[in-house]
Amino acid sequence: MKYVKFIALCIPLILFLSLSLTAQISNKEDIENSKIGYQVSETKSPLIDQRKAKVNFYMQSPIPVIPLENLSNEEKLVQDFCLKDPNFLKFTKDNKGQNYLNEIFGIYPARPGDINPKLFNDSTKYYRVELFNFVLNISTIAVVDAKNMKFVYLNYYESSQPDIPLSLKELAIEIASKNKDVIAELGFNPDKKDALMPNTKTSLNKTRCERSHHLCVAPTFIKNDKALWAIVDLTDLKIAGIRWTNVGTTGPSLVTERSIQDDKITACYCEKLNNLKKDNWEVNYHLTTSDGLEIVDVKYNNLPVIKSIKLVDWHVSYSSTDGFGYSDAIGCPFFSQAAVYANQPPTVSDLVLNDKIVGFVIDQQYFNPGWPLPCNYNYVQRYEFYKDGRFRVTTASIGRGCGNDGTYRPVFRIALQNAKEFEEWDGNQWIKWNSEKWTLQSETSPLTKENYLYTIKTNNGGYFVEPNIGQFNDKSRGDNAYTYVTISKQDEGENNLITIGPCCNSDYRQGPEKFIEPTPEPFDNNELVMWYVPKMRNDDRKGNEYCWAESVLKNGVYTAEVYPCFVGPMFIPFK
Amino acid sequence: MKYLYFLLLLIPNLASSQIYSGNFCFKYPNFVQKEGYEMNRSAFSTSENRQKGLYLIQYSLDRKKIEKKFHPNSWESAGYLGGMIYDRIGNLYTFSAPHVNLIDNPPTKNNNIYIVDNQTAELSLWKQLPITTKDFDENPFGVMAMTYFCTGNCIYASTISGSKRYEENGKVYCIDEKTKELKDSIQNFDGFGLCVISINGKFSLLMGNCRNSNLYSIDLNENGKFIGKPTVIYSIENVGPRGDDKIRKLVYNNKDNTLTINTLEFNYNLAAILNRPESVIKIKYDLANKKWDRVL
Repeated sequence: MKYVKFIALCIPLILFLSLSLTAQISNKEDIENSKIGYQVSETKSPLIDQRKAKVNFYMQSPIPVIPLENLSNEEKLVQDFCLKDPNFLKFTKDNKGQNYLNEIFGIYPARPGDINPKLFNDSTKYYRVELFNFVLNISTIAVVDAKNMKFVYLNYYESSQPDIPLSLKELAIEIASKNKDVIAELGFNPDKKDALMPNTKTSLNKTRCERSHHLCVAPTFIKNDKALWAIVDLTDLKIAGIRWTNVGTTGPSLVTERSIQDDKITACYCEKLNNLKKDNWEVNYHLTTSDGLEIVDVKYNNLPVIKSIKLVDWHVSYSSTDGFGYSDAIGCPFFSQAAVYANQPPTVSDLVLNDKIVGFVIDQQYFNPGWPLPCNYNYVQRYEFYKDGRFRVTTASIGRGCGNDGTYRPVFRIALQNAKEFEEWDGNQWIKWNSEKWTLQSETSPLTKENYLYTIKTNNGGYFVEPNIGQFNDKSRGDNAYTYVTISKQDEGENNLITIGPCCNSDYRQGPEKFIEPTPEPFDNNELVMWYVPKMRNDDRKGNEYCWAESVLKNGVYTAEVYPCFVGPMFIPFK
Repeated sequence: MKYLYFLLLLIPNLASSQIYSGNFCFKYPNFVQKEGYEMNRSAFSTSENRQKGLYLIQYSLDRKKIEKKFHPNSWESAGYLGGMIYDRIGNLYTFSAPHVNLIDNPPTKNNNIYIVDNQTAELSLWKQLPITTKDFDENPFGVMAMTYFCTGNCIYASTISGSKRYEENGKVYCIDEKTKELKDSIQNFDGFGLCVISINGKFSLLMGNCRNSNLYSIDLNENGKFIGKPTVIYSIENVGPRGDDKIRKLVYNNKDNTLTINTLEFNYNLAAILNRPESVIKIKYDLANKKWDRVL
């Protein structure tokens, strides 16, 4: 009998634990299946086209403010009064007179709390007017005495968004409910009413677009015990992310642009090894906590060729300020040592040369949220895999940095499978290295007629190493790289490395020399690792931009114009 | 004489106030005056732009420019540093805090608490809190905040060393200020900002958490040891431009009886952001209804 009682007591606990576990698994699946903005198709709708046309029209106007429509005569007069006042329009243009995107979000009878009681006059009517600047995220709030046409209150609020007007609410619902990816997730074509919060029937779910700093709202669709969040970016008129959550307390209370990005990247790329088979290659890749996107156990035609390649550090120094710079790790967005972190998953795309697909590319981007403002950074890692067995390890800075006197030095760790010998071209013949050492590729370094500088010999042949001297059609100005070769050791970079070197040395002391000095070891048939540290100088001169980015106001909102500086060697196989 | 003056000011204030901060007895270091600095227009700082370590900075009389800086060699020896507290004698305490990378702040030293001697101004290691992991991949951080409790003779320190993505392994320690013994600890709690307050004679430790936007409270006995478990007493979720900031610093202001909360976007990474994403909010305790309300 006591056993029966014991089991009866345990049942609720077992049920609770299994429900809890089910909820955790379900939450993890929801995260993995979520979609980040660029993965979501664009919604096609006449309402969106009308909105774009309206924005274009007002961005060409002397007063770049989209007015509110369907107003009473008195409200129209109030709006006209506001749109003629320079103080009300203070933030509608930048300091060069270029138009920002602005819109009147609301004109309401003022509430008692809106007016200073000392100024209140009950013989007149007061209206509260709300103007929103999409670029600066500034709300201009005014209270107007409609009888005497004067302001009784006018103030500006940073990082503040008033309630959106009905027209934008309908637009957000249209963008979400007519989107193919949303429909596919739901399994049905939702009605407009399905997008509203069930408890209010009128409001859209609140959300944030913390990375783009755009105005975003979240039409949310309920299906059974789950909710599908569709974050709509009302500046770009696109969906910034889609994610399922559990309804109730087991799900997050707020889904935002950043949370969708960070959770998805972490679940799918930081916590998992991804496998890709394409064009005779098999590549395993994942995001690390401090060494960027690492490719491991790579095969070509079923033969192992690469053990591990990763980007350990970015060193950035500024020549006009001694010792000033940064030594940054790149990697996962949270629970990592990254100073510049991944804001989107890696992408795989075709590698096209002279209009032919010659292989594929894996790209990974990292950024600081404030980019492209000064002292914020954006980096790209790129691995190129060619159908003929070549591969290229590259990276680029996309600005902007803390000045136009910046020098960038990315540190690659390249471990080929069974790499046993290393040779350097001296102009006439290949000279074998017998122990750990480093060398610098300069403008006078002799190259073979094919532009090769090194060879790495493996059990199955090996690779020629062709440094970048601007020959790869990517507008690069060359690598000028330090190359180091060390014996492969577990505690010398096989696991995640903390920052390996300081920001601002201009000589060979970029970090890998630690594994060579003070006593370089003879190779003695041990497996070898190559470290490659190119150097790039940024350039902000008009028409010559390099490692640079500019914010440009286009149609009332800022977009980034980028000038990447790609560096990195090509590896060419030989038998 | 100046101490009598201080007591004459403090006692009526404490007697009339039902809420006051637990570090009421703290004192600024004696070396400030010895080095020719005036505390009423000087400040200690560990967050000078592009500068490592601790600085004492004196501003001009009109507060418009920096007049001079004090920065002996030992103040740079521990790398980048975090917030500061003072004890009843005037010793200053601070802790290792990595900034952008780990070159000057290796993870094995991020549980270090340093002391700046009240008389000599020398910075030295005061206490290394236990490091319970060798794996710093997912989390290079250690000590996150400290506070001083006069009555309990305790220095409290929150540390998240050893905490991982799916394991909250942080601790909050009560450290005896004289013996440096670890008197008590809260386990499996990734504490952030700390502050001791007394409400109607009962002391409690207020704490932020690095994983959420909640403000927690735990009761203290007269020796500074913990009673019970942390409970949520307020939340800053959805407050401010980011909506999920963490509570980095807590200061109770005895003059206006408000709690100032400095918030920060924190995601267990070393993200280098030029304009630190932080906000400041104030809350006040409603004695009648026993709850905290925002002061706008």
